[in-house]
Parts: sequence; structure tokens; C-alpha cells
Amino acid sequence: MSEISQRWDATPWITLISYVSGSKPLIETVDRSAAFAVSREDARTHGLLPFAWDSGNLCVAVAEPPSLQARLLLDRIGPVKWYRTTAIDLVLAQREIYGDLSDRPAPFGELARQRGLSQEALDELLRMQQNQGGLLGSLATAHQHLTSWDVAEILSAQTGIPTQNLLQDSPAASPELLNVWHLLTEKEWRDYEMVPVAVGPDTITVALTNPFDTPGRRKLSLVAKTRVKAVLTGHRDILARLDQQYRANNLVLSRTLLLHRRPDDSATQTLTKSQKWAGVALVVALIAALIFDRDVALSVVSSLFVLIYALLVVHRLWIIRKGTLTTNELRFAREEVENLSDSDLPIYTILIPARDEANVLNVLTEALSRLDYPKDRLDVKLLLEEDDVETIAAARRAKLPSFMEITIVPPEEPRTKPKALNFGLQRARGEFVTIYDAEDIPEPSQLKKALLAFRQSDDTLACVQAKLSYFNIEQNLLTRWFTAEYSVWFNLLLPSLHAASLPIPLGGTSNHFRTEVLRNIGAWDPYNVTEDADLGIRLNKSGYRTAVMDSYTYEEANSEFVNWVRQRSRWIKGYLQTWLVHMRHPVQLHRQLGARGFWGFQLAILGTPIMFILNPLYWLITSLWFMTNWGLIPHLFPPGIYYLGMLNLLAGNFVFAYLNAVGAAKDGHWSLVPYAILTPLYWTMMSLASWKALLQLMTRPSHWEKTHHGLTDWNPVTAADHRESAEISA
Amino acid sequence: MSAATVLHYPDEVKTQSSLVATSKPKRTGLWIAGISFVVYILAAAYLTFVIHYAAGDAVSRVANAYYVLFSRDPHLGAVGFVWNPLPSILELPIVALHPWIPAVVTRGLAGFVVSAVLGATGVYNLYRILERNLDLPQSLVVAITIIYALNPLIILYGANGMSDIMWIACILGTYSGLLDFLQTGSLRRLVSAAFWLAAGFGMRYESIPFGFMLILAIALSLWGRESISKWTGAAIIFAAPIVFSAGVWIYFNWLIMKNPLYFLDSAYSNLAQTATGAYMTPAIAAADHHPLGALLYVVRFGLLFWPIYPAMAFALWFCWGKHRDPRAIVLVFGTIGAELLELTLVYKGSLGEWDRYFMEFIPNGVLLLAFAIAKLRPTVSRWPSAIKVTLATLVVLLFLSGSVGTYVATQRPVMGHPDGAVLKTAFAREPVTGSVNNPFYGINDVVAYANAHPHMKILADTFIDWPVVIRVKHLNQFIITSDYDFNSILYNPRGRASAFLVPEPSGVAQLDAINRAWPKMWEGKVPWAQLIKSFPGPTNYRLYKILPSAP
Repeated sequence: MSEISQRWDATPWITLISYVSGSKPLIETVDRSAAFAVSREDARTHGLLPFAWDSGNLCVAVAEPPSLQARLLLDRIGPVKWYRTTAIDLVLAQREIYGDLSDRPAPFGELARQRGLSQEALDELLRMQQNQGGLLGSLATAHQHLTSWDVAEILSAQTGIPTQNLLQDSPAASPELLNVWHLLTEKEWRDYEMVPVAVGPDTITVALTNPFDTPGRRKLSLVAKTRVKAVLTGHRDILARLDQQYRANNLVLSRTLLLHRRPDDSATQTLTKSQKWAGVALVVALIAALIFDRDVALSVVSSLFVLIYALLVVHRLWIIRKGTLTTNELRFAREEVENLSDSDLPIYTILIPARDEANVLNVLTEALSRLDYPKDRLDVKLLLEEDDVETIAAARRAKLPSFMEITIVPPEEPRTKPKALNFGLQRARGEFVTIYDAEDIPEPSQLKKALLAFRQSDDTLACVQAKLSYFNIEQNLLTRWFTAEYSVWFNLLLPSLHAASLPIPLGGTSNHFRTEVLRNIGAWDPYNVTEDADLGIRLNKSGYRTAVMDSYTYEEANSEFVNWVRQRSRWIKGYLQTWLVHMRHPVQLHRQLGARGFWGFQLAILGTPIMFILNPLYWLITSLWFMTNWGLIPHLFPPGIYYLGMLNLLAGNFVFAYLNAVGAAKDGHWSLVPYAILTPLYWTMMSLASWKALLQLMTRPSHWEKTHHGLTDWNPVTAADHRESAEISA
Repeated sequence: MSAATVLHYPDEVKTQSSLVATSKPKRTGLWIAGISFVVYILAAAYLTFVIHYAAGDAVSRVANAYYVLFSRDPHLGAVGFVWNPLPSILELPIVALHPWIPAVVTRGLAGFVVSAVLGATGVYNLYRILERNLDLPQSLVVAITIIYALNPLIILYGANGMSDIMWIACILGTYSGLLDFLQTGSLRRLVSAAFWLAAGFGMRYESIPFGFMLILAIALSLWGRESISKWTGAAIIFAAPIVFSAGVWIYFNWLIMKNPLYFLDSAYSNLAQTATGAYMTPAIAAADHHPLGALLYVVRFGLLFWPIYPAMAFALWFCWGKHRDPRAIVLVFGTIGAELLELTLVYKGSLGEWDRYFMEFIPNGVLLLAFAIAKLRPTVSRWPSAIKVTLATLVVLLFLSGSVGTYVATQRPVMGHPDGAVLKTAFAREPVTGSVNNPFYGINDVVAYANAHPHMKILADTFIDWPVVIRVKHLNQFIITSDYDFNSILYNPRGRASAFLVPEPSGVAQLDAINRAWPKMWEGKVPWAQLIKSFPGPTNYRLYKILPSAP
């Protein structure tokens, strides 16, 4: 007897007809949802019927030994457990599940038409599906032609799998159900778009959105070592159930993930004990030196600061030189972007934290709709604080497209943007994730460009930073200066750091990440008020790279002085905070970043605030000298240091002003060049903000100074339908 | 918010032209520059040690650097506030070797090294312009560069430590960056041009009108082609460093010399020197307050590279109208700008008779001629090879004739002061004569006397006396002009100075601080000063002892 015959004889028997056993209810052998693991045509052609998922296997009934083609077909799905049945059982069961042979199964589009989808919309969706792939149901909901519940009902009509409305009929919590939740991770439940709804003695029932998708059930049945049945539900139902289940956990993780994974990188405490002792020792040493020889002590301290300042001036000169190169950022030609096949595009998560920003939602929605990316693969999470009633109400009224999901962040401390981002990240489905502020208008092709950057680089590229600029440049002098400064930051400084492979302090938005890497390094620090800069450093410390790409996101420049000072002081405080956090173990940091990275970190992270903190001191000393000729002042500056100080004062100021002018020009903002030359006035404001930051670092280190957006008139802002430029018109 | 704000998303990968601006220049240019440096250093050795030539203004810059490091009061301010300070500042590191190699100061070697380096840099910049901006064939680029590098005046100034060749390097650097910007939009090159221009101000005041004319050139080049905000922005980026440099210079003049325009109107300034009549020649007198005469005086020096006349006329055609070419505009405006200060000074009768003031005609002439060839090249390229080879040979001969013309022009009495004589004696291997081309002529006795009396504290104004001061063994026995207490001791010398070294008050020596403070001292009519010794020679030094009756 051949081996095949022996195996066939050993194959267990099964009946596919429902039956009654004792006092138990009718036992249905065939799970409809399992049957659709293969198409009805394949099932009939090969004479088989998948009837259950059990312990990681797809249980398939056949009346004859399966053909090679049948085996190959099912191998693509995963492990298969074969059962023998009678031909009559098989035929009857197939007819029960798939309908009569003569029945023409109703296609999705036809059923959708019956639910009110217009023929034009259907044609458009079919065309879209042909071009960019994806499921018709996902496309229809992404483009707001159908609700996710419509899709569930259409699929139910197609397959006969029952639906369960989880929004109205939420399953009761039970210890058994909780155990099932624990069998998979949150990410897996989200990826499979599946939630457990019932647990029986030998069966788990899950609700899912796609009955043709098999990996989720295979995995669950494998780890549960039992049968898994499925019912259909809507995408929103799944999200609601997941939110119910994981909200508390998400909240804890959003506050403690980094603290748990890398406690030394967390800004929960501003200064460690050893740092405090070091600070005290420094102050004591300084006082002792002042008592011992006041003039020498002051002269040494002053010289040190002058030298640091000179170093910063040289650093900025290097930035001018390096930053004006056009080759130090990633650039993609239009053709490269257009040649990307839409059908290969992965899910992309966009996190948008917003607070008190009801007035910008329309523009945000418009900007996101204009993104050149298949909408069914956009996973946008609008992160709203639970007590921000006004924005939540506005968001609900706005009837956001289905690719935008409102995520309510519990109102618990710390009330910071990074905490909200972490909360959203727990729910991200995308292979890549980016963040935008609520008032951002990203370039339509930005996601594709970021994707190109990731695809053309190795895995060490963890983040791609797009450039930020403003759309209300000409509003007033402050917005002009602010824009010129941003131009330097994103057009000269960051590209220079990128080209020199130095740590990059990320900008607040439009940074694109590999989601897994972001999760692995602990995501954003919820206690750091410049979580973006901190994250850039941590990426570098972990051996990852950040690139700068030539793609823009437009934001609203802060146009009010007080609001500007609040925002700026938060940034500067965050830089100081970031410096203190990473300098807890300087030797280790040196080892992690390398010598160049270490000094690059000092110049970029400490250098920026220290310059503005020192500026008013030197201005004061210079003014005092001219006004009073106070005899102490010459003692502060030994001969060589005096020249260097003079050079700092004159050349330094010039270099920084010139840097702003060049940055504005590189950004194409030639009209800002005359204003950029006047930026020394802007620095007085910077110094004011810096001192505020320094004082606040000591008193309220994690306090988040909220920047108010929408200070410009948003009502007339609409994004024009141009491929690579958004026109804002009144 | 404006009615319609367009958000611009720069998206395109830059075109080929901008890639040109970022590609590395060919090594050939560096090789030619390197060889030029060696030639200039060898020429410096020949001029110094064989024919005993020294350019006074060059060695006096080295002297200024020497005072900064080694005077009684070492301080940066000792670099002086009349002449542009950058040559001396660049010479500082080399002057620091003085304790081990005194010749870096006493022979002015520090100046030779800096002028040779910057002369070679100018050669490199020229090569870069010919290759990138004028897009000439490689062989022609090499030939023209070599001909320029070996021009007699260029060699002389590459070797003699003068600031003129340093300024030419800056002019060429400015052209190179600016042309790249106008042709490719490279912001980096615009910034480079701006810093070259600012460095030029550190060398010569002519940079101000030169920069001004180039700003006009930017405006004219971009007019109608780019937005007004772009050309004004570009002009600001271009001008900001030189405006800043000039501002700092004025500030330091005010801070240290208590007169913001000290460099312009002090007793040592160019205006004061020419007012003595020491540099007045019949040709300058004819141009004095005579617009046409002044113009002709300046234009005449075009003979230092004679092809500049037809080349300039040709390029002018491309400055306006539909033929407008930014390269022509920059070169024409730059050429005019480089001579504008001279034109003004000669009109005011305040110009020295030096031929070097017009040396910029040489690089400008070379570039204008090269531009003409670049423009004619497309027409010629369709002609048979034999004709093309013949024409290329003629072109090379034309450039060579310019260099020969340089020598010929310097031999004319009106145009060749003082370099005509230097070139002639250099070619004849004869030693130079007179103090104009050897400021150390006749000072040995003074130096020997000072060395023999090391304890004597001598006050000397280094404006005239620098050749003595840099050659004495003990610089600190001299109280010099840059010392903080110089003025105080000048007027109250009793017990603080042993003697005053006084040059005969004729020519620019009338401006010597002692002669201005005590005009009768040299004649021996100051009662508290007693003649110790006279030193006959071109300067006719006299050393006066300060008596106890002095103030």
C-alpha cells in the first residue's frame, strides 16, 4: 500500500451536516467564516471545503484525496488539517455555504449600489482600485461613499456570515474573554482588525472586518489551541472595542514606556542626584575661587564663556558653508514620486495632536485630503484631550473622512503633546508614522517622498525630517523674523548636521519614522517639553540615522509677542532639559555618539540656549563699560580673550544675522533678506525667552507652555487643487 | 494675510547647470596655481637677494604685524588704522617666527609668502572663471591662465608682498562666485563672492566702489528676469559682509583712534600724503579737477593690458538689450568699479603716481578678452579645423602680446613708476638704485648706532622710520607710534625718552609725528633737544638727545 493511501486511510472522518447531540443545541460543524478562506470557485474545482480554524490549522474537508493543486492552493494560507467526508456531505455543505451552482454571487459593487452608492462613485472606486490596489470596501469608506457598517453588512450579504454591532451590543466582560484578549498583543488585534466577542467551551468567537483575511484567526487559534469562529463587524466597532479594552493600558504606556525601557533617558526628573551634587560642587568651587581671588576667578569664568561663544560662532560659520550646498539633503524628482506604484504602498499613520484648535479643523481636513496617498492606507489619528470639549464637538460636527479617527486622550498628567503622541502611537497601524500639528499644511507628495527615502536607504535610517516653513510670512515683522529663523534651521542647520552625520534635533512636526523603531526606543518622552529634539538625540544614540528631505510643511508662524515668548521659552527649556537628561552619563554619551556626535550635540543642544542666555550679560557688560568705564570690567577679559570677546560681539552678531539672511534666501524667501539682517533685534526677544526658560526649568520643568494657533484668520484659508503647491486664497 | 499667498514647494531636483556649480574644479587649475606660487617665491628670492629690491609699502605691512607681536605694548591695534589691516593680519603667523628667522621681518619675507599664496589663489580663481563661467576649451584655459600668471607685473607683485596682488585675488574670487550665482543660482557661490569682496576690503579701499558697481551689475543682470525681491535680496547678501567689515573698521577707528574716519583723514592718510605734493607729477596735475583729463589718465593705464580696449568695447554690447549677458555685465561693471576710486582721486588731485593702482586692468583685460572669445566661439566652431587651430594660435598670441605690452607700458615714464625700473633691472640682473625700490637704502648707520647704544630709549614715528625700527636688534629700545604712551612721551619726553629720531621734513616726511609736533627740531631749533648725530642719506635722519629742560 502506498504512503499516500496509508495517509488517506488515517485521515479522520467528519460530517458536515449539523446535528444534535444529547441535550446540546444544534451542533454546526461548518464555520462559514472559515469557508471563505478560499474562493467558492476554488472550493468547487478542487472538491474541498474549509470548515473551521482549529489550533492554528485550517480544517478542510474533502471526499477524495486532495490533488496536488489543492494542496498548493491551501499551502499558501498556512497549515492545513485534512478531514474525510462523504461526497454528499461535501456537495450539500458547499451548496449551503456558497449557494447553488447556478447562483451568480452578487459582487460587492452591486450590493453597494443597492445601499445607495451611485454608479459614478462605483466606477471611480473601481478605477481607483485598479490603479492603486486595495479593497473596494476600504476605498468606499475612505472616500466617504459608505460607512464601515455598510461594508460589514454588504460582506455579510455576500458571505452569509452574521454581523455583530459592537457599538450597541458590546460583549460583557468576563474573565474568560479577558484571557482571550491576552493571547494576542494589542498591535496584533489592531493589525488583524479583529476582537474577541465570545468564549465557549471549545470555541472562541471573534468579530472582524474582513472575512477573507486569514492570518488573524490562524494565529489566535494556534495560541488558544482551540477553534476560532468569526462574525462580521465594522471598522469603527473594532476601534471602539479596542479603545475600551486598551485605553487604560495605552494611557499607562504613553506615560511610562520610555521610563520603563530607558529610565536614564526620561526627563521625569530634571536633575539626577549626581547632577545636583556636581552643580553644588561647581557653585561652591566658584564661590571659593571668588573669595580667594575675585579678579582671577571672574576672568577665568568670563574667558571660558567667551571661548564657548567663539566656538559657537565658528560652528555657525561652518553651518553657512556646509548648509548652502544643495547636496546635503534628500531630493526626489517628480518622476520618482510618480513612478511609485500605489498598490505597493503600506499603511501610513499620521498622528495629529490638537488642543483648543477647533478653528483649524477644516483646513487640516482639506490638507490631509490633498495628500497624494491612497486614502484607504491612511491611518490618521486626531488626538484630542478628553476635556477639550469644544474641539471634540467641532471634530464630530465636521464629519471627518473615515481615514481620520478621533482618538480621545485621557486628561491625566503630564498634559503634554508627547504624551498624546505616545497614546496615539499605541494605536498606530502604519509601518511608518509621522506627526503633524493641527494647523499644518504638508506638501501633497510628502508621504511618498518619505517612503522613497526609507526605501532607498538601509534600515539604520529611522527618521526622515521634512522642512517646515510658514504660510503667514508677511503678516508682521515677527512672522518674517520667525520664518527667516526657521529657514536657517531647516535649510542650513539640519541639512548640515545630516550631511555630517551628526545628531539632529528634530523639528516639532513632519518627522517620519519607522514605527517599529520608534516603539523600540521608547517613543516620545512625555516629560520633555521638546520631545522632538530629545527623540532625535535618542535615535542617534541608538545607532539610527535621521535624514532631511526637501519637502515642505507649512505652518502658522506665531504672530503675537507674548504667545511667541511662551512658545520659545518652552523650546529653550526643552533644549536645556534634553541636555541635562543626556548628560547624566557624559562618558557613556561620548561612547554612544562618538566624539564628533558628542560635540555636535553640545553645540546644537546646549549651544543654542546658552548663546541667548549669555547675550544679555555681554550686552550689559559692554554697555556698562561704555557708560561707566567700571574698573572691574577690564579684569574680566585678559588681552587675548578681550579680542575674542570683541570678535564675538561684532563678528558673532554679524554671522548670526547673515545666517538668517542666507537661510531665508535658500528657502526662496528673498523678500525676507532685508528683515533678516535686522535680526539682532529679534535676539533680544530670544534672550528674554531664554531667561524665562532657564527660570522655569528650575521651577516647572515639565510644564507645557501651549502655543495658541489660529491667530491669523483661518476662515479664508483653502487649499487649492494644485499638485505640488497649495494656494491659499482669500 | 495677503489675498493670494502661494505656498511654494521646491520639489525638483536641480538642473544640470546647478550641478556644475557644485562639482569640483579640475585639478589642472590647482596645479597651475601651485606652480605659480613656486614661481612667485623664486622671483621673491631673486628680487630680494640678487637685485636687492624691496617694496616699501609691502615691508611696512610686515612691520605692522611685527609691532603687534613684539613691540613694547603688544596689541592688535598696533596693526595700524590707516591702511587696510588684512595683509598684516595674514602675515602675523609668519612674523611670529621672527625670533628664529629674523628675515621674515627684516627682509619682508612674511609679505612675500602671503602675496605668493594670494597671487596663486588669484591664478586659481581666474582658471575657475575661464573654465566654468566662460566655458572655454581646456587647452585655451590652461594657456590663458599661464600667460596671466607669468605676466611681468603679476609675477612682480606675486613676489613683492604688496596688497595689490592680494586684492586681485579677491576681485577674481568675487567674480567667480558672482558669475556662478548669476549663471546657476548657486546661493553658496553668492555667499562666497560676498566674503571675497569683504576680504578685498581688508586689502584695499577700492573694494567699496568695486562692490557698489557689482551690486549694480546684479541688478542689471537680474532685471526683468527675476523678482525685485530676489535681486535686492541677492544684493544684500552680497553686500552685507563688506558693509559689516567697513562698519567694524570705522568702529575701531572711532574706538581706538577717537576718529571714525581716521583712516581717511588722519595725518598719515593718503589724502594727507598727496597733499604734501610729494607724489604730484605733470600727468596728475593735468588731470586735477579736469573730468576728461582724469578719465584719460585712468584709461591710459589700460595699456598695462592693451587688448582690454577692444575687449571692453565688445563686452559693452552685451550689457543691455536682448544680448544682455550677466558675464559681460559683471566684468564691465567690475572693471569700472575697480578703477573708480582712482578716477575720483586723480580728479581730486589726491592720487599717487604709482602704476600698481591700475594693475587690475590686467586680470580684467584677460577676462574681458576671454569673454569675447567665448562669445565668438560658437561661430568659429563650425569652421574647418585648420582655421580653428590658426585662430587659437592667434588668440594665444593676442594674450601674449598683452603681457609683452605690460612690460612695454611700464617703460613709459608716465605709467611705469616705480615698477618700470624694477622690471628693467630685474631683466638686466642689475641691483636696483634709489630708496623708492629699496627703503633700506641709507639706514645702516642709524641701525648700527642704535644697536651700539642699546640702553638709549629712542622715540621714532614708524610712519617714516619703520625700516630702521625693524632692523635694529632691540625693538624695545624704541618708543613707536603704536605704543599707548607714544603721544604722551612725544609731548612730554623728559625722563621717559633718551632721544628722538627725526627724518628731514620734506615730502611725506613732513607728516612724521615729531616733525608735526616739533617742526623745528630737525633744524636744531628746539632748545631742549641736542643733536647727537646726523645720518646723511635719502631720509637725512638726525638723532636728538632729550635734555633735562624738556617738557
